[in-house]
Amino acid sequence: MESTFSSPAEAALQREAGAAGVLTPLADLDRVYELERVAGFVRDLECQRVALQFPDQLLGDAGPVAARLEETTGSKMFILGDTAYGSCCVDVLGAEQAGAQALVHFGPACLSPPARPLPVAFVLGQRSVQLELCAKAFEAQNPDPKTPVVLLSEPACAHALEALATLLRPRYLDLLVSSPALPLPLGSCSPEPEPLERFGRRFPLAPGRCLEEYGAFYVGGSEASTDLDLDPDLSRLLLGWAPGQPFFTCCPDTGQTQDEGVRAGRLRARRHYLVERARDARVVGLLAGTLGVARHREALSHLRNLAQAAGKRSYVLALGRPTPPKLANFPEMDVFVLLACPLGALAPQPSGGFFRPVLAPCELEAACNPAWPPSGLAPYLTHYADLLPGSPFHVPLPPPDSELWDTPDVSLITGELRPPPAWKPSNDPGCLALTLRPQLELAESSPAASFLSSRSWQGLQPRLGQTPATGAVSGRRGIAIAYEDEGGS
Amino acid sequence: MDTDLYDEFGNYIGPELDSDEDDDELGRETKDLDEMDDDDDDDDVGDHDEDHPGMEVVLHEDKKYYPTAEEVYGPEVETIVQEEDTQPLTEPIIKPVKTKKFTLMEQTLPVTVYEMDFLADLMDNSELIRNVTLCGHLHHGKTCFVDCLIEQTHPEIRKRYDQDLCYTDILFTEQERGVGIKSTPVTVVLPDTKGKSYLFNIMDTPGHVNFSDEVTAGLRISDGVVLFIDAAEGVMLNTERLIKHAVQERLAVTVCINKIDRLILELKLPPTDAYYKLRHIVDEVNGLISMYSTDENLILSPLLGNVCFSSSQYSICFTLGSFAKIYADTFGDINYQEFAKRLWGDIYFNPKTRKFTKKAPTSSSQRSFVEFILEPLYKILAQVVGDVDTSLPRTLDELGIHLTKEELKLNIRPLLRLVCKKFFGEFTGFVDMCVQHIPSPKVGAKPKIEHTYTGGVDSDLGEAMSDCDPDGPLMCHTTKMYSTDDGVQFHAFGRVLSGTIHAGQPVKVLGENYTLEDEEDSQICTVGRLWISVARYHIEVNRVPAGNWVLIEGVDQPIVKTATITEPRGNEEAQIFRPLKFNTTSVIKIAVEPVNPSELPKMLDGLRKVNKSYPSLTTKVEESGEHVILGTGELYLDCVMHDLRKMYSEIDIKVADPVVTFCETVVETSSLKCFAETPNKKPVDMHQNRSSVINPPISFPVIRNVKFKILDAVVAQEPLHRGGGQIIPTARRVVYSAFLMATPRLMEPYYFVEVQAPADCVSAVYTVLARRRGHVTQDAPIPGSPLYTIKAFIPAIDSFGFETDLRTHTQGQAFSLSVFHHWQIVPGDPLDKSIVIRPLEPQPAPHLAREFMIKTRRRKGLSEDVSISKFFDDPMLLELAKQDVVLNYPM
Repeated sequence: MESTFSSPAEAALQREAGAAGVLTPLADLDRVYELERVAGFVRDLECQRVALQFPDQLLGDAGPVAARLEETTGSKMFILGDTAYGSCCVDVLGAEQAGAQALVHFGPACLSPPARPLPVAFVLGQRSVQLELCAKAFEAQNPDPKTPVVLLSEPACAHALEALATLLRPRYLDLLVSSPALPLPLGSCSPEPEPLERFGRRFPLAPGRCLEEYGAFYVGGSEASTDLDLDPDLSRLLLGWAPGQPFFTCCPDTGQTQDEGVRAGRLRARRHYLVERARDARVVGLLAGTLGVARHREALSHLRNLAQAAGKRSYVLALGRPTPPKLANFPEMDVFVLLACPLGALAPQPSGGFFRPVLAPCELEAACNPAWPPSGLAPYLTHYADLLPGSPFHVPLPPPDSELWDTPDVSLITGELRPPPAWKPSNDPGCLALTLRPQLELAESSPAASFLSSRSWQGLQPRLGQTPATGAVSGRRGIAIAYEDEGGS
Repeated sequence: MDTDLYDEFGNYIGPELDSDEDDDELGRETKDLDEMDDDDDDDDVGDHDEDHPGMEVVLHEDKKYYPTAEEVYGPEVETIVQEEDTQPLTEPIIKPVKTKKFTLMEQTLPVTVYEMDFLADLMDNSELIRNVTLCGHLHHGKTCFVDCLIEQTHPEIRKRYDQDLCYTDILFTEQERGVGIKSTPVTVVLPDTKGKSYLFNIMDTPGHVNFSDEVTAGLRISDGVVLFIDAAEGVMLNTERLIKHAVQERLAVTVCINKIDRLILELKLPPTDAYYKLRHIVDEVNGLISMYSTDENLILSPLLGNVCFSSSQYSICFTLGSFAKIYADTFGDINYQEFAKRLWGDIYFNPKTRKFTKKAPTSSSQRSFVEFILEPLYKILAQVVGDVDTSLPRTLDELGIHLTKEELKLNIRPLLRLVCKKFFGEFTGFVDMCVQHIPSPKVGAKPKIEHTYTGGVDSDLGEAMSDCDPDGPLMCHTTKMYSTDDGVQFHAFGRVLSGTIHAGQPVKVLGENYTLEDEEDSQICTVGRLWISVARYHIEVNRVPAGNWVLIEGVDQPIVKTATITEPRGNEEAQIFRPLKFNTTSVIKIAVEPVNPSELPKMLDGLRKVNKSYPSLTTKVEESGEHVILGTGELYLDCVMHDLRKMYSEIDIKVADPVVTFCETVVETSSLKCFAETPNKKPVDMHQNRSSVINPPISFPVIRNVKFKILDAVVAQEPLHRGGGQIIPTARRVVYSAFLMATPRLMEPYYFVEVQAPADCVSAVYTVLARRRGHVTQDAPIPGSPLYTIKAFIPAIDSFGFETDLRTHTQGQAFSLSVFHHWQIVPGDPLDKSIVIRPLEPQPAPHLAREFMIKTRRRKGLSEDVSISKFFDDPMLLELAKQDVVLNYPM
């Protein structure tokens, strides 16, 4: 059977995932993975089964870490090696399968709330930061001690931010230190006033101040990163940061700073182009990019409603991690929208060779919701939850009789007129009551069907009536990686 | 009044008055009160109303003149008082109402020599209508000619002093720059030689090559053109292009040789040489027509009546026929039509036999054109210019022209104009020419439909249009959008081809993408008002029948460039008229961006409007998110940017340095078979040769002149292997690698440049051209003039600022025009990594391709080099190594 499928079953099993062998010297394990803290977390919860989630590049260390933890806590450790979507999200489903009562997440995390409550500890990593160099770089970039600046960092450098701030505090008066928005320990009361939570970080803003007043100083990245493909975490900061405010990145090893204004502008322009593409699109593929992040079902139905309201056909595709060959299997889609955690949605890069562009949910909202503020004024939202009702950024669709739907619009890509949506959003989508139809009209053929008829190759020949009729037999069983009838070959 | 109670100064000293009970409450207040009492008492006494509760003494700080904000707005409203002015002093508190105005318009309908009702009546008679486009090279006198027509029909519109009227240059920018930017329609009633009135719809078009798109829009709705040629300059760059364009659009071509006064007053040619010069122009035009036209009978000749001569500055316009008519009117008893047939060519008049002969009777006799037309013309001009006081009054008397004393004291130019106007009368010769040689909308409809309509001509609708039937189904073709005075709205301008359009009528507007199969690009609109446009004023009408031009309100929203307007119901088989086919290509590109990012929506709105306003403009957003504007040249984009900044969006806009569009090509055949395997190991092989278009690998959007040959493709038997997911990425890789193996090169657009300069400046022109990688192809004197014409090619990317540069080097004596001509390969290998591009230095020729590529990739935010290894599989790389292919490309 192997030849029929893209790769033989064995190949998948024999493939080596991640780097082989131990990456960190055993002596350093405790420090790098904060094993003491993790052990404390496990002991406090008194759970017997704990899942350890590693990203692919750290899998080599998984064994020793698990062994060390089992030794110190006495609980059973499970290593989740294969995450279906991004490794930044907490794999609740994987943990559930292992029957784990708690999960420890290693490596960079998007810190989005998981769909089901589960105690999670995050180990973000400890990258060493040259505090003196960074402080000097900071002073060079901000000569005026009164400028309001936020200190940001990549997750692995977050531990050093307070120390950096202490170095700078005597001189700089208006300094804000962001911290990763780690889940608060259960039962602990939230501090007053509740800090602003954005970009997966907490900002302890003073009352009356807003984040748009602050410039940014980001510690992280490396000097060599001059290519287009930005780290998604930095991209979301650049996209979401107020356009008029300065944004500097600083390499934690050398203290080299870089003004990211140009890159941010380019990034915004690129996203703006994607919105235009989405406006032109007739068929939208909604890629399910997460199953573990809260409110993803709600978001999916929201995006489907949006597409329908704007007169676009949408299809939900569950493909796992999107790759160019996978997406190229759906040539009838004009754009894809990746519904994933904030980092995952920004991960597909323009240079990735995708046949059709892959958008973030916010861009579909901007394209389809005529009440959405025009580009330049709208905030760039990185998390789909911000689009849903209940969020301060939520903009409801205008009523169907609103003039906003009828404004003719010229595509900036083709220079042609975009027709107003053929059908309006209905007020009560769930209504199943029978209504009287005044006149029967010809059903409109779907765009997908018309696309198919325009293709030169239309798939398998159905050979209608040429195949002899046979009785139904029971098919194959099992999961795709090894069906039951394939045996143990 | 009890005097005991007062002291000698009139101050009250008596017992305390008990009127202020409240005051006792605070000790401090009573103390203050004592001090104030002195002033208050006089009043109190005088008024005699101490008990009035409102008159109690209230301290200044306790006084309340106005209600508090809380009392006014309620307790839940927060009020903020700002001490400091937030509005700058320079900004008036009450701003004057700002009315935006960008065009010159008449306030009221001007007086005309004909009744407006008469004009409206003529619209119903399609045989008496002529739709004509006036076109020609820059500054060959089109607008000035229209001015003469306007002056003849509008008694109150006169040019001031010595300034040109330029009635059709309605934009302020056109007036300031002295060059037409938009084509402007004018509708007037003109009589022919016999005094019969015709309705003339005239489109005055810009002569600058950058605005050729405006001419195209005018040609589409016209039945014929009048080509203007400067008698002194002859056929120029744009003249030739316009002849070709008009012939391709299947329009009737007539010629008006303008500025004939220049031959006499400026070049001072003897009459015989002037005749040769005129004949040379006619021959040249005929040569060009025979080159572009397949119709052998299309010949221009004054004898046929399709060439007229004019000098719009001095209000002279005649054909052979109309000049002969002057003789007939003076001497009577002459068959002027027969006479006219003998006024051109090698025909001589023998005064002895009083017959015309083909041979010169004496060695000194002149051709009939010289003798009967040029000589009298020279005489009038010479006498007015040189001999006002002595012989002019007598000559004028002979000619039957009577001038008042004041008129005789006029300056030479106005006097000459006046005399000529009286002598030649109205431009009946021009009218004759158009009436005879340009078909009426009824006659011209059939070829027009055949050329422009996408549907069949044999249908009922096609027949209604061919008959120009005002009772048929409505079909109207709009080709231009004119913005209103204030630049807020647009009116669509077009021609009704069948049926009648009514004001307030619902119509269906079909866009350029409408087909019977895909009806999406159509919208129902309601027509607002309808006008007949006469440059600076509009005549409002309630209906416009077939054959006429009309300006329509209310249908602008769904129209981008051109549109077809038809009835909302009952005309389902209507198809669209073809979009315009321009004779230029937009190759100059600028990227725009608002200074303030939050003003992007305003800029987008402005971009949509300029897109409507300029027929061939392209505005789009590129993959990198840049907003780019593509135009035909520097002047064109300058006008677009003016409109964008001032008229349509009123914001600050940043503009990147202009660049040109590049494309990619290959110069060789790839030396080996390129192949790649699909993700599940099925190979696709390809070879490549020099024409198809796909998305190119290096960085530019188009591939030209490349042929891809699929040599072999092993497609899997199993349908599962043949999905798009397998084929598309693999095919793409193969195509890219084959492209890169076949010596890829860049192509850049080249301009054709025509420079006119005096002989001593020619060498300077060469120098300027050479510095910009240009080369001269032809360099020849213009016959009968001291100027030279230099024809050259110059790369468009090096043409920015060429005109200014040229003028600086020639002290403003050289004049140039440039227009896109062809694509040419950029010297050098764009992928040669050994080339180092030094910043701020001009690069030698072999480095150019590399420089262009790197700069474009940088602008787009791509990494500087094309990583080739991305397109090659491991087996392919092995194959390369095996065959020992020398690649200097980075892997």
